[in-house]
Amino acid sequence: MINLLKGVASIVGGGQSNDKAEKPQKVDTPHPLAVRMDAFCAKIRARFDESLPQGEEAVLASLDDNDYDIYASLRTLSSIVSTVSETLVKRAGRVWQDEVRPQLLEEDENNLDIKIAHQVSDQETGMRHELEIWKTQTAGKLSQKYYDYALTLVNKDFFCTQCKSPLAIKEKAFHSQYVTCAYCKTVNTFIPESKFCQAGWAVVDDLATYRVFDLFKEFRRWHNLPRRRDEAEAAAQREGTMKATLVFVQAMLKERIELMPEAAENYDFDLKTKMRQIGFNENEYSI
Amino acid sequence: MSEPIINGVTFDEYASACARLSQGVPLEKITAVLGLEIPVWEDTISQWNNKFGELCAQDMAIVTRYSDLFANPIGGRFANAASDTTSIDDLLKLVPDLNTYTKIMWDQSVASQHGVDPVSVFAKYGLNLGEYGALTVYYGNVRNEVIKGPVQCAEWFEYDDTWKKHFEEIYAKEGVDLGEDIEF
Repeated sequence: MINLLKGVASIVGGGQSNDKAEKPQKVDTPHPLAVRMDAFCAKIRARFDESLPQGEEAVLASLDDNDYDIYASLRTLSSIVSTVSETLVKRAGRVWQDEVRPQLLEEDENNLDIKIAHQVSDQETGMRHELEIWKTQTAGKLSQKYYDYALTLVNKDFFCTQCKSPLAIKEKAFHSQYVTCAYCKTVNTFIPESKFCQAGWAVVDDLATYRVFDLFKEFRRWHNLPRRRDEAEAAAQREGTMKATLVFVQAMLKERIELMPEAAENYDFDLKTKMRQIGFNENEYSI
Repeated sequence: MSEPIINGVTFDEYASACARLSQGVPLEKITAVLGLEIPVWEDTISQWNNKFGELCAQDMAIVTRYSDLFANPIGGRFANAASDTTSIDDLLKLVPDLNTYTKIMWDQSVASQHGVDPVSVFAKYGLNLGEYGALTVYYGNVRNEVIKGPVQCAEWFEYDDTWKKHFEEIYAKEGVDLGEDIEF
């Protein structure tokens, strides 16, 4: 947890050396508002930490409650993210803006120390990034649960309409198929139920991401780094970000093929598309 | 260069089929017009989705064409198909101006963030998903014109912001406050 008291030696009048000499007690004594803000942020942080596991439990349970309506469960996830963001992540920032800052300005409008604001902002940024990671992780767990369920929906007892011989269908192809009977050569049409097909477009990407979660976190870490201003450093940062992105996208797409073998046909196209969506053109990387 | 055709389906037919499906036209009617069985249709849509991505990368003008067909889905063999979709003239009776469209847009957007099914929001305004899509295309063009004029642009900014805040307040009141008991 961020300790808001750390480094907050003086809130009002403590920014300049002359003032420090005149008001030594403010250098060592935290401002009462800083103390309150610190305690407040600690409670927010604790509630945030408690809420995420409960949120995950609620999202996963929602699939049982809604009879495996994946879209409803994804909306539940979205709703929880929004609620945590609005009522916890942004809360301290609002308190700073609406309550603490005006009070500090009232005390001394010429010498507002914004260390509190920075610390509140750092905590908010940290929680926002954690929430983003949590969302991806929870979407992955939800997808795993749905994917496992979807595979049970495939009718394994599918027989030829002419000679009644058993037919072998492609198990992880999430769409209708023509299946030619090995015995009488009749072409049969296999149309799976829609919940099975939904696995192909609603959960495979999230599940593949979850399977390479450490690479995803590294990819996001690079993207969330503060932007470098120095030209050479900025170029190195972009290079590092690109490499982390490429490693993640390649691994994710390979996992996707495991989950949905037909995705192999579009691997190159999907790689270029994904990289472009993230912000890297083909001329910036080599495979 | 000749236009791609996948399993006998042109781009205009692909876009029109997507629009019709999103407006609730049954898949059977779509495949009947195109003369395709379900597995071929699914293969067609999958291939066209990829091809559309490639075409977008080459020339974004294809998006405009797709949008036009989405608003008026009468491409290729759908030109003579039964009128199963709502015409843009009828939709404009329900959503007559950019202000009304902006209101619906923010309602569904904020609702989605709070876990509400946007389809239920469209229904409040007498619309379905596809009809809203058609209106999005129409008002996207209107907005592009509006932002060229400083006065109209300023007006649009104002009601855009007003509706956003309006629905954020409404849905926030309906939601749960996880930090309600934590006081500063």
